[in-house]
Amino acid sequence: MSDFTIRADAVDVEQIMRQIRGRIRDKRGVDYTEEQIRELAAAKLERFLDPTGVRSDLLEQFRTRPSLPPGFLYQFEDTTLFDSDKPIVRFFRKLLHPFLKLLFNPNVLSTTLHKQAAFNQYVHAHQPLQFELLHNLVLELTRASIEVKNLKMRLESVQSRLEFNERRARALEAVVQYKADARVRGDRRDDSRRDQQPRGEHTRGQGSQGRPPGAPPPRPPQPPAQVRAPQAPQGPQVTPQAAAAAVAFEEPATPGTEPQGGIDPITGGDSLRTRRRRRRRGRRGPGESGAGEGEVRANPDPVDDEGGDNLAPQPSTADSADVASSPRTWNPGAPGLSTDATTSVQLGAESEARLKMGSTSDAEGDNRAPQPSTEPAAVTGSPSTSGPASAGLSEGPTHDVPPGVDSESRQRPDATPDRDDERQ
Amino acid sequence: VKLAVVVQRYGADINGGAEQHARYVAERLARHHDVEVLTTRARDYVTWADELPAGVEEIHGVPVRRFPVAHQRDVTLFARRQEAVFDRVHSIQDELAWLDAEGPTSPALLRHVRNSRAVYDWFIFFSYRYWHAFHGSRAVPDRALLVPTAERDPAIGLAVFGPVFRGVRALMYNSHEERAMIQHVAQTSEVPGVVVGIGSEVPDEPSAERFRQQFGITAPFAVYVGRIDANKGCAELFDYFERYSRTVRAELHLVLVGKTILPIPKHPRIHHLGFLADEQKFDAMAAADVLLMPSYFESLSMVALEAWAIGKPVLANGKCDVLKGQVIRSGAGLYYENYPEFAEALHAITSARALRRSLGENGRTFFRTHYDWPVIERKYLDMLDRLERDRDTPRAPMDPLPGFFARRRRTLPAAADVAASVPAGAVLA
Repeated sequence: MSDFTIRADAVDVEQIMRQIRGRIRDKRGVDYTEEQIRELAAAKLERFLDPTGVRSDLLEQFRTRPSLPPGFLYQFEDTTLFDSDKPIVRFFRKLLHPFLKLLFNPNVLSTTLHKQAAFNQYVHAHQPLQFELLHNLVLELTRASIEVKNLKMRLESVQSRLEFNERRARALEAVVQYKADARVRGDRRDDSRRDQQPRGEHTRGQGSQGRPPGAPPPRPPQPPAQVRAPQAPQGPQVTPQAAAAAVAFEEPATPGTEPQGGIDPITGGDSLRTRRRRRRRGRRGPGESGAGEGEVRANPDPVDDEGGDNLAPQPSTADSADVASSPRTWNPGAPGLSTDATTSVQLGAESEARLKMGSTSDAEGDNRAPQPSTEPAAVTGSPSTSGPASAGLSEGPTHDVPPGVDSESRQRPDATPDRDDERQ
Repeated sequence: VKLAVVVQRYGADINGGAEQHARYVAERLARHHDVEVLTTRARDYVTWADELPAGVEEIHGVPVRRFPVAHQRDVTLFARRQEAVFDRVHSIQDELAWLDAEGPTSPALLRHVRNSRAVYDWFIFFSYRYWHAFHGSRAVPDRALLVPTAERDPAIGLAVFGPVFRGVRALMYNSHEERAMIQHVAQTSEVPGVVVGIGSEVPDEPSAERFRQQFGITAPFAVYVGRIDANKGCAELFDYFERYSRTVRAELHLVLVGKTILPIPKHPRIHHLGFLADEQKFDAMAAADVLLMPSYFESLSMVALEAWAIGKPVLANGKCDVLKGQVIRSGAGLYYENYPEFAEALHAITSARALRRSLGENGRTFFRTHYDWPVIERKYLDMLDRLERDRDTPRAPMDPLPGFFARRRRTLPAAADVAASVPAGAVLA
């Protein structure tokens, strides 16, 4: 209900009432007049009542019922039996009444006939009421059916609005997170981030969605340093290529890192941006840089992390969508790599190749996330990404890549084994 | 000029619409002429039992002469006779019997009117549908002014009233709708008539704050003032308000002022304050956002006029032609004919301050222009002057009642059908 804007000298009541009625019409859909409802009632009766064998002209038939038989309504009192137009006859009947009562009991007869007469009058008096009742019921039934129809339409409308609002809310949330992260990392990588996001999103999407059925519930994010230390002995069992791939697509999530818009923080599914970019990648074609399924990027999204098992030393998902959908997973608990590891290695190699092709973007994709733990000193080679901050969660220069630094140098494939070792 | 105001009940504490109307008119005309009130001893309009003392007493400076009622109303008999004339083909005799059953049957009052026709220059009869007005007007037609206070109910379709409407010297209507209705059923275009209505004693400074302090109602509220009765549309009002409160605006309260003969629903936002003194009543109106008038039948709503007098908008039942017409003509309120309209209109008034203020200002202007006491007095005085001037002008006598047999011939249509055939709707021209 909206407010009215009225000038003090210009109140037109009828115009306001027209506005009010118009608004009611908008809400209710079609505003039917009484006549229209009556017409609809006559038409709708067939639909409503045919299954039960009642015709739509029921009301009309009821109205035009055969007239009452002559003499149906009569008066019968206790004197009727002995009544007469002629006073003399009336007198003798009254005189002989006691004698008649000796022969039979006329009271029973007159009482019965009196009740019958009263009953006839009762039926006759109530027939209009019955008609009225039936008539009103039909009208109200029609009115109710119209209202139900209108309510259905309104429900559909509200539902579509709700869906639209949800989509808009997801989009807005993605934008808000994007800006917050940009504030942390500065503006200098904004341009490259746009190119980076699809790959990271893809990985995160796998992380959140690719957990196999029956997998243990996700853990809360942990500091990478604490995770890496006990897992380090497993490192030698992994080939550098496999490690590179594994590290790449299993970047640990760090609170405060940038959600890349790939996962909706509320729903856990792909956000609008993710879908949009996926469509864009689809338009560009699968062979283009940035569209590789094996491309990996840090997953800073805690939500994603929880779903993607990036840090958990438990069955984790592989990199790409193919891997995600595959039951073949890397099991860090197993000695060495299982047959799945072969797959991981292959995928990792493929990913590595893609990393080289799109090195700049890849490097940006990894490094722009303020996750020092995912940037081992051996990998980065840049003083800005090494140092004590790499094991902690601090932000600052260590997270930022100086403009002059070649990001590719930080994403050299030879760096990945170290990272993988740390993770394991 | 000596005037007799003839009304069915009279008293400072009698708050029926027509009765209050008569009292106000009598007291105002008493400032200009010699006025005496002729009435019954009844206080209760259902039974007409003699409760007030007979004889003459003075109320607010006006002498009031009371006459006994011959018999109280037999409700069962009245209902049966009413059904006979309202819903079935009937005779003049049936209508007279209905009138006798309705009351207040006071032969003493009628005798006094008939015997004192030389004492009074003019008799002003109130409420056409009662025994005293019918027989009194027939007793002194050439000196009778009638204030019909007619509503759109089946009684207007009774045949016995046509000659009365046509036979009195003047008709003082309450509204344009009432005039149109009476002219349609009785062809009274030749009878001098004027739409007068009624003024009201409105205090200069009603205090909303005083009311809120006194009753502890701080939330915004709508107010209903009058008898709380299903016939006044209150049952529908309760239903609508509960739905409104549930679905639209929960913080709005409803305050009811007046005696109730209808169970009031238990609702945290419906407050019944009972009968209030005038000062409290006007304070309540001043504190309210809007006055609700749910009645289906009104010849003139004094409460609505009072609300307009203090600048409050009115939300009226649009199925009452009079209220709808007044609301439209005044531009001082909105109306509704079903729940969606009620909800939208009430929300519009209570939520849009500019609209509320504009409607209130229009109401104030409308009241001052048409219903302020000087205006009302002037209309009565002008009419009396006109009648004085035309006193010697020959005019047709009132149609006599039919003879013995013709009176008993059942040829008259059901009064409800006649009333239903009267064109409905507000008079906007």
